[in-house]
Parts: sequence; C-alpha cells; structure tokens
Amino acid sequence: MTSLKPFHAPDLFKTNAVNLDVLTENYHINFYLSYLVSWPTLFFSTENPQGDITGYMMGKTEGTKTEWHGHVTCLSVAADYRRIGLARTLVDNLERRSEDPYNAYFIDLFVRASNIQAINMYKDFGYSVFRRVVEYYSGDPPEPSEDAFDMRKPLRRDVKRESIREDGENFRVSPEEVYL
Amino acid sequence: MNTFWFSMKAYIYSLQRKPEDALEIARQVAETTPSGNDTLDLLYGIFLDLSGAAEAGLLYERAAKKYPKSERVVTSWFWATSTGLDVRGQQKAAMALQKSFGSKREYTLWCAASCYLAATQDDATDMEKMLFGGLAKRMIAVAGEAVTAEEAILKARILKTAGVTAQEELLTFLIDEETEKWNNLELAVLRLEVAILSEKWDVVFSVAKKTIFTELRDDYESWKQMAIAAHKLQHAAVTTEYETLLAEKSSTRNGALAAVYYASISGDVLEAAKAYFEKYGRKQCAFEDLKPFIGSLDSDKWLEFLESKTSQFSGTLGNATYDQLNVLVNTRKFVYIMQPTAVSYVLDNINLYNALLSTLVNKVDTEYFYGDDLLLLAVQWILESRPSSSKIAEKDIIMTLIVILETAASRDKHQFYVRLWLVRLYLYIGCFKEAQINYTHLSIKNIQIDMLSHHLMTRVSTLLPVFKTLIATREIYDMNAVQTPKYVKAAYQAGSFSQIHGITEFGKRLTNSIGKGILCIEAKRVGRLTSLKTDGLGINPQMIDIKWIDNRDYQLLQGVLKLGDKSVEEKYSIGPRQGGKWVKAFMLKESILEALSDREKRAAFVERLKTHLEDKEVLLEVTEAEKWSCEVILGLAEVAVNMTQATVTSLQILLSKGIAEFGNSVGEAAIDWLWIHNRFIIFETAKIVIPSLDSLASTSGSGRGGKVAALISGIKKSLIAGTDSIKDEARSRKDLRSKWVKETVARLNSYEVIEQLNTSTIDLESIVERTGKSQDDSLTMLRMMKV
Repeated sequence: MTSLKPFHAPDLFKTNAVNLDVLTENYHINFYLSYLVSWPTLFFSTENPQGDITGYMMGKTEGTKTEWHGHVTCLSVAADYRRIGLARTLVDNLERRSEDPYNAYFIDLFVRASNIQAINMYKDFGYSVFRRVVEYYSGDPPEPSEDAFDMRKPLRRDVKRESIREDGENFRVSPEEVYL
Repeated sequence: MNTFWFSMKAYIYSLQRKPEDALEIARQVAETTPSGNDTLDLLYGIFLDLSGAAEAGLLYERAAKKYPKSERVVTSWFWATSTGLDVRGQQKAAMALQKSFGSKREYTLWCAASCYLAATQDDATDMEKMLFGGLAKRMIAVAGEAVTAEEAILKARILKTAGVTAQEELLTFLIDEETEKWNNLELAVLRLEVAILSEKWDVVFSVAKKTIFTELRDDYESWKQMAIAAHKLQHAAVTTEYETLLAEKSSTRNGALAAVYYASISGDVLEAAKAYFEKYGRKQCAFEDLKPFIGSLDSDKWLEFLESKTSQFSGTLGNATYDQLNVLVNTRKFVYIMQPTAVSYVLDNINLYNALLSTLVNKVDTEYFYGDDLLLLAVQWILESRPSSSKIAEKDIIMTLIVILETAASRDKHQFYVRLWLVRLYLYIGCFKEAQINYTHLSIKNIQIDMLSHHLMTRVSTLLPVFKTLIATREIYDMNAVQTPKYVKAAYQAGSFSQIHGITEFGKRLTNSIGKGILCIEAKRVGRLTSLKTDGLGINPQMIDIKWIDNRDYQLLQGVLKLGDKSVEEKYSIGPRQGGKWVKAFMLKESILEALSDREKRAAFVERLKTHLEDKEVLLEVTEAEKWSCEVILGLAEVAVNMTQATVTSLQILLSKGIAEFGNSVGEAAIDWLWIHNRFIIFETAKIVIPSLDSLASTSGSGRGGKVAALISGIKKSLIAGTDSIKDEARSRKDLRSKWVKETVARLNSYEVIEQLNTSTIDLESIVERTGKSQDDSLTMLRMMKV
C-alpha cells in the first residue's frame, strides 16, 4: 500500500530502510536541503500507512530555451517494496510536476551504462538513450571510470520530439559537454 | 570603544573556553548598543552559546529600537535568529521588519511564516499558540491573494493551525478551483486531511474519488478514506458506487488492498485477504500489506490457505522461482506470528533456506535475497526463547546465532538487517572489532550517523575506548550547526514556505540530538581512559538542561516482522537505553569534576546530581557500575568540601564495594559486554579518584599528613591493587583463548541447527577465532591501562 507524500526535512530521519541500500547515495545534508528549498514540489516520497518511507524521488529543473527540462537526481525504493511499481509512481509524478507548473520540454536522467536493470526499467517507462557520456562516473582505483547514459523522455511541450534521438547509445560526448 | 575589537576579544575568550571572561566583555560592548553587522553577529553568537537565545535576542532588539529606520539592522536581526534556530526571536524580528518596512510584501509573508512557526513549535504554550496563530492569520490576510503554490500552502497551514473556527474557510480554500490550479501535491494531501477532520464524509468521498479517478493518482490513503466515507455515510448509492469501483477499477495494488480494508470494516476479511494474497503474495511486501489485518483473520483457516499455496511447489523447491520464494517467505512470517508453538520452526526455516539457495544463482550482487529472512526469523525465534527442536546451551546461543547470520552475510553481503544484527550480537559478547567490520559494510554516513551510529557506539568507551571512530560521529553535528540555518534563510528568500518549518525542526532535532549529548560524555570517558586531550568537546553548563531529542533508529532491529515489539532488541542491548536523563547525570558528573576546586560552583552541581540520582527513571538508564561511578564522584566532592577521616573513609568504603562488585568474576563467567564495561568503569573511576585526591590533599592542610593522609594513601593502594587484579584476570582469560576456541567450535558443530544449515560459504572455526581475538583487544587494553 502506497501513498505519495511531499518530502520535508525531518523525513530524512525516516529514510534508513531506503538509504541502507548499497546503491543509494547518502548525500550531505546541504544537498538535500538545497533541493527542498529550490524545488520543493519535485522532492517527494512514497509511504506505507505506518508512515515508513518506502521510496523517494529528488528532482529538479534546469536548462534554458528548448533545453529547459526536469531531471531525476535520485530515485530509490526500499528493498522490501521493489517490483510493485513504486519507481513508476515516483517517475510519473515527477513528469507530471515537470509539465505543470514547470512547463518543461523533457525529463532526463543519468544511469550507469552497466546498470542494465535500471536502463530497461526506464525504457519501459518511455525513456530512450540520448547520448553516452564517456567516463562520467569516476572510479575509485582500482575500479575504472564508467560511462553514463543520458536518458530522456519528451514531455507534451516538445511537440516535435526534438529532445530525443535515435541510436543515442553511440552518440558519445565528454562529461565537460554535459556540464556546459 | 572599538566595539568590533572588543567583540573579537570576547569571541576569542569563548573559543578558549573562558565563558565568564567572554560574557563580561560581550555585555560591556552590548551596553553601547552597537550597530555594525560584524559586531552584532559576533556578540549574538557569543550570547547564544554562553547565555542563551533571550540575551542574544535582546542585543538586536535594542539595536533595532535605537535604529528603527535601519533596514540593515532589522534584517540582520531576522537572519541572526535563524543562526540559532531561535523561533521566538525570529517572530519578534519579523514583526519589527513588517512594522517598519511593511510596504515590501515579502516581509509580510516572512512575518506570517515566522508567526506560524512560533505557534507550531513543540514547546509553544497555549497562549503562544493562540497569539502567534492569530497574528499569522492576520498577516497572511494582509499579504493578499496567494501568487505561488508555496504561498497557498502557507495560507492553508496557517488556517489549519487556527482550529475549528477556520476549518470551513480552509476547506473552501482547498477545494477552490483557484487553489487546485496549482496542481500541488502538498495542497492535495492537505485537502484530504482537512476533509477528514471536518467529518464531512460526502466531501471526503468526492475528494478521494477525484484524486484517484480524475487526477489519476493511485493513492492508498484515498482508497481507504473512500471506504471509510462509504461506511460512515450508510447510504446505499454511495456504498454501491464504492463497491462497483472496487469491483471494476481496483486492478492496482492499492485498490486491491483497499478491498481488504473495506471488507475488514464491512464484512468478512478472510476471503478478501485470500484474494489479495492470490494476486500479490508473490511480492515481498505482501506480508507488510496484510499485517494490519492479522487480528481479524481466523488463524487456522488463514494458515490452511497459505499451506495450500506453498504445497503447490514445495516438492520442487530446488527449482523455485523468485515469485515462489516470496510466497514461501511471506507464509513463514505469518506462521511465526500465528503459530507460536511450532516446535520445528527454526529447523524448518533452515531447511527451506538450504533448498532455496538455488534461486541465488542469478542474483545480482547488489540485490537482496529474500531467503535471508528465513534465517533472520529463525534467529529471532531463538532469541525470543520460543519452542525449538534444537537444544542450544545458554552460553552458546549468541555464537550460534552469529554463525547463522555470518552464513547469510557470506551469500548476501549488503543485507542490512543481517549486518545490523551481527553488529548487535558481536557487541553483546564484547567484540567491538567484529561489530565494526559489519557496521562498516553499511557505509553509514552523514545524517545516518545520527540515526544509526548508536548500533556500534553504545557505551563504546567502556567496551573498547577508540577515539578516532567515536569522534568521526561528530561531523554531522558540526555540519548541521553551519549548514541548516543557511537553508532556513534560503527558504525565506526563495519563498519556499512549505519547507521552513521542516528545516527548522530538522536543525533542532540535530542540535539537541541525544546522540550528540552521549558523544560529549563518551569522548570525555575515552579521553580519560586513553589519556588523550579532548578539547573542543567541552560540556557547556547550558547543555545540562537541554531537552534532548531521540533520533536513533531502533526499529530496524525489531526484526523483519517489524511488530513494534521491543523485547528482543532490548533484551540483547548494551545496557539500559541511554536517554536524556543519562546524559544529564554524566554532564553533571563532568561539571563537578571540572569545578572540583571551586567550592561555589561545585556545590550547585553536587546538589543537582544528588537530586537527579534520586529520580527512579534515571536508574532505568544507567548500568549499576555507571550509577556507582556517579556516587563515587559525589563522595569525592564531599572530600573536596571537607577532607576529614569520616569523608575519606566513606569514599574508601564506596570504592571497595564497587571494586568487589564490578571487578570480580563469579566462577568462570563468559566474557560479554557487561564484563568488559564494568572493568573499564573501574579504571575510569580510578583515573579520576587518584589524581583528584592527590590534588586535593596538596591544597588541604589535613591531607598532608596524619590519619587522613594515611587513609588517602590506603585508597590509592587499594585502587591500584583492584586494577592490578583486573589486569591479571584479563591476562589469564587471554591465555585460555585457544582452549575456548577449540571447545566452542566442537559444541557449535554438534548443534542440529548448525549441522543442518548449509555453511559451505563460511569457515566456522575462523569465525570463532576472530571472535576470541576481538574480545582479546579489550582484554589487552585493560592490561595496558595505567592508573
């Protein structure tokens, strides 16, 4: 059972079941607080009736002109609540808020090129690979650096679907080009 | 007078921990009512740290009165209050800002927001709630129509605080098209909450229905509230409508579960629960979903149904699918609760775990294996002393469980329930380093430190006094002090009104976190035991009266069933749970020691500690040895007041009693956390008493010769003899290590649970050896300790 709730700073005290996951990053508090202050409507969680947080989404908007878009910064679901569609619920809500009130052209996200599960999940949600960012994730030696896929999904405003491209897996860019 | 120069001087004194000198200068400067921002900020910080928010606020209040037209001074006052998360001060500053510069709309909104904050803080009095709530309502009206969703949220929250009188207005506001146009989740959640509060069930029904079917937000709370509303309205048309919706549109998990809920309040829940399990029993969360309805289910019929589900594939477990694994584990969780007399529960779970290992073949390293829950349930069953077909000797229970959990961890290294239980069990038998290895796997950092570090750090100074690991937990509190206030300010500036309350609360919860209070005490203890200087963790007298807030997460150790039953977790804890009363007792103890040579100050702290220890609730938070150590400090303080044969003898008796009680083993009792804890407390006490007596004797006429001096000499000798005896025992315990390992391994291998468990991925003997070595670390430290 799931209800979608807006996220507030004290909710950080309820994230253990989600954040103890090995793939979920635990950021500095200023990172979380800066998102809450800048994009309060794009940070939300799923809760069970006991009030436990079972997943959450941290999102933001950025870019200019036709690059104005919503961005998935962090999406994580507690281990016990996987494979029941929570990720889709969270992504759907970010898309909805990115369209109204933000009127964005598209949503994007970065995912490790090796994370096949996540890539397939996002493809299932309607996302496609826009470009491959070479060595986007720097590795802790001896672990090598890893490429990222920049995945996108056009929103209603992108009538001509200009924010996506075919064969994005082979369109290589450097991390510097992404930051520009 | 160069006010900035003198303020800087006061600030330096405060850093040097000379609070009286710092305050004296700061007060002199404050008398001149300075207006420079740097000076005011410095002085504000000094007052806030050393005398509290009231005096700090008064500084700015005076400045604002003297320079009412200075927007810079008044806004500085407003921002300064956010530095100390001083909600009352902020409200006052906001009113001044609005009064003098109200033509700026943002100041009116800030004023409304800070009045709301003052009305809703935890310790607001009824008078404050009424006064500030009323002011907030007036200010939000002055601000006029909301021009952002955040302003609409602020208005809604203010109206909600205003109580029954504003409820109608609030509901009208929330269901107004102009409000709904914001398409805001927070407003939507509030809309349903307020409708429920109003008990207008027709409104509740329509609001919830709109959420699900018009806004297309599949929300369990809305499904549930529709069920409640339909039930409350007792109107055939509504009931029929809801039942039709359930029948035709409840294809989602939330809808399906709402059908179970509806059945629980209107009919037979068993059939509805069966229907739900048929569909979602293959999901991990199915047990959690159905848990609230357990009390309404007929145990026999429900377990019979579950048995029928698992029997369909029980003959082919070796080829079980992921879905079948989940059905099976969910079933075992229900059996745990509904069939508490099942003698073979532990062995059954172990056999099932073995059989399901084949499903691990395709498991990604970072995924969890749901089969681990079978072992966690078995462990919990044994800890709860439930009937078990396996006869494990009492002294081997913890080691047996460690072997079971190490087996799970060897195949699923990131399973955090397994790791946390390993941390707890290793600590319970005094193995800090092994506990730390498992804790490190969890990569706990940032805010998690405040919530989770107690799992490793509880009474760490008396298990293995390690300063570096302990002091690393300080980072989150330092970060909070600097970062969080910045975001309160940022939220005001960005007009993110929905977040101001939360960020302020978040900051306060960390500032007054019980974890921080315990850290201060533990650092003192470690410093004392290891002869390290622990500057920067000084205990400010203001801290003694802090109302500490508990952010620690113990729920994770209540087992995979999460029943809210604390008994197992508490039964195997590292002493009684330390709360605010524990912190206060030891802050008073440390304050007495710091003021041992200052008669006036010391007397006040002594009286407070005496009174505090008379509180029965304090005794629920301290170990016997900790209580004794406090009593020794009181005895020492008596000696400091009056060094006579009577006071010194009294101290000697107290010390002897403690050494006898906490320093001697009964027979060959197994080493566990308490064995080690008691002995480190004795060492710490000796390290306090011996130098203190030397120092007091040198300044007291009666201590320099005669009978008192002889008694003091006797105390020192008996303390040294007591600690030497502990060292000897630690040495002999260590010498018996290889024998202990050999015998323990033999016994563990003979237990049926270990025999049956597939332990091919672990080396049992190595686990027992490492456990012994880990205990030896503490024994070695005890042996090396100098008093």
